[in-house]
Amino acid sequence: MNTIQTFVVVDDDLLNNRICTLMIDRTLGGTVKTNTFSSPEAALTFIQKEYAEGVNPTVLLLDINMPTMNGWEFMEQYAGFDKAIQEQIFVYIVSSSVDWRDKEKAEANPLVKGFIPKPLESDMIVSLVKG
Amino acid sequence: MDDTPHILKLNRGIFEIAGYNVITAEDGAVALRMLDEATVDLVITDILMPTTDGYALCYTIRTNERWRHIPVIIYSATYTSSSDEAMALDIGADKFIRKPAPMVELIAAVDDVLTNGRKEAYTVPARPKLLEANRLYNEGLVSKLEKRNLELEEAQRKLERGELRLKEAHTVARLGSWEIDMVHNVHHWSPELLAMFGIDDAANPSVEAFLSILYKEDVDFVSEKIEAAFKTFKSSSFEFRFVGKSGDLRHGYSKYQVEFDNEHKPVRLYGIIQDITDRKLAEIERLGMVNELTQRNKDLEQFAYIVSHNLRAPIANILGAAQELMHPGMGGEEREFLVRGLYDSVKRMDNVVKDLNLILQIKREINERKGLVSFADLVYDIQLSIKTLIDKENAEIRCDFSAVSELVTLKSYLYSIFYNLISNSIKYRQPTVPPLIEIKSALNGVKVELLFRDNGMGIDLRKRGDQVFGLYKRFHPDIEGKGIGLFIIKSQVEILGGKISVTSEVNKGTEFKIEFGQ
Repeated sequence: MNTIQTFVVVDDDLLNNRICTLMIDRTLGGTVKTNTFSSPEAALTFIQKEYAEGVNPTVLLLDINMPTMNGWEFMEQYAGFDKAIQEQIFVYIVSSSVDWRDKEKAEANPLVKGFIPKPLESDMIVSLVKG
Repeated sequence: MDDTPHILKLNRGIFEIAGYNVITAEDGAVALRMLDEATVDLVITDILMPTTDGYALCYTIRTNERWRHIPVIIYSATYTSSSDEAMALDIGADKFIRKPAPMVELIAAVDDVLTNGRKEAYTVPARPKLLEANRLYNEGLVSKLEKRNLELEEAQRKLERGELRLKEAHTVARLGSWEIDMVHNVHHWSPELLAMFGIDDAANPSVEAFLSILYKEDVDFVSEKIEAAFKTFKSSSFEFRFVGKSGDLRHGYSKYQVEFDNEHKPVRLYGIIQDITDRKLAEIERLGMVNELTQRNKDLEQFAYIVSHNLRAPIANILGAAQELMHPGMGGEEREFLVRGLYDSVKRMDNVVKDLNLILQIKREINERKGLVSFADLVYDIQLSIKTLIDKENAEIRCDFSAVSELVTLKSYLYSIFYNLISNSIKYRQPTVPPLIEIKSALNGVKVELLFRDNGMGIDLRKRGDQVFGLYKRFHPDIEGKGIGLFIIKSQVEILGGKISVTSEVNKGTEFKIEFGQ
């Protein structure tokens, strides 16, 4: 696996996005870029455009509960993307939910690498980058 | 001989097994004709027989020269006294055996008579002996008759007691019976059935009389059931509702079958009808309880969902923000942002807890009494209370409650439902069009319908229409709101026993329909 170069955070919660950015920067010392999106639609457009060419190994942290498009709806759209795009991105569902059904659903999706409960922690970021 | 065919057959079998040839006759007169035709070594005879009795047969044998030497055994169940025995021997019988005797005794008697014979020759009994035998025979008949009479009387008493018990059982079980003579088209209803239906004894029972006491809505399917019974002759049953003596709605159960004659033609349709009102009401009550429990269970699931999602979200943010704040070397601007975030998250948590409390309260307030609520008054009150908002937004409310003007219900709930729907319509108005809210009532069968139509922004129902009434489901994120209003409206409508549905078109408007059963 190639070294992770980018984190993409998709969550409608601005505070969460700021916390994620701070924590990733602090943990990895500014070696990776972090892109945050409060609109899942905007994130999809970004991915489709920016990942069409080249190789950019990325960790995508995706929230479930978002008002206009939830995490599962996001994944339905994402499933239609080119294989070349999907191969660059490691999708993790990140949720504050402690509902076991959400975890089960995440693990059942072949395009999802794992389920991470909020809040994100430094140790977790390290293990995500190591793969 | 014996006049009871199965005894005759049994005895014949017994003697054939013992190695004798047997001929049988069911009366003394027949036996005498047989004696004429066949060679007979021994006669066994009953006493009580239709034309020639056993005494007379024995007398005839002894008085006839040709048959006088034939041994006779008398075997009787009716004539068993010692005088009967003495008479039998007097009139020329060799042995007298009381019925029922074990097989071995019967065969031993026959063997004895046939092998040992008789010491002295048979004598002709004197004529008066026959008269004497006749008298004894008649006495025996009379006593047998009396005994039979007593038995009949006892049977009659048992039957009457049984009928009385059956009648009592019918009354206790609220059970009536009926039958239709299909050949003569004669109907009969038991007194219990007439009483159950509150119909005069003198009235003629008929299918029409039955249909006339039925609950209106059940007449059609019951008619079909009866028609089918007359056409297919199949046993069946059904439940129905009828109007009781005091005009109350009662529940009945009917079960019936058809009797056929030897040629398989249906002759009688008969059955029972039971008043099952008590059981039915208990069933309805139980169903209501099950529904309520199911609803409670759903509520609990909803709470679990709120806790695991909506309460957990701000907690996760508080944890995350606190973690970052603990690290030194953070810029003043970042620090301020995180502290602000901490405060917002705690406030959000507080709101969720308040919402939970509000939702719990809806369920608790059902103790209020129901009353007649006028729709027009309700709208008037709401217009007064939000007058400032209506004036500011230049909103108009048009009402038409001509079809139904009032409803027996919980006023505070209906007020809350009207209030929330009206204020929603104003809140989610189109920016350029003044809000117009039309509220209409309609009667659909037994259901009262309330229609709320506005010209607002509308909701895109194609994707997440099923979530419109869900808790914390928001469709217009750019307009301030909590996603709790429609959830509460739906809860309240359901508590009032109603249903709410929605149709909508983006940029055209939204229509909510509420149905209340009566």
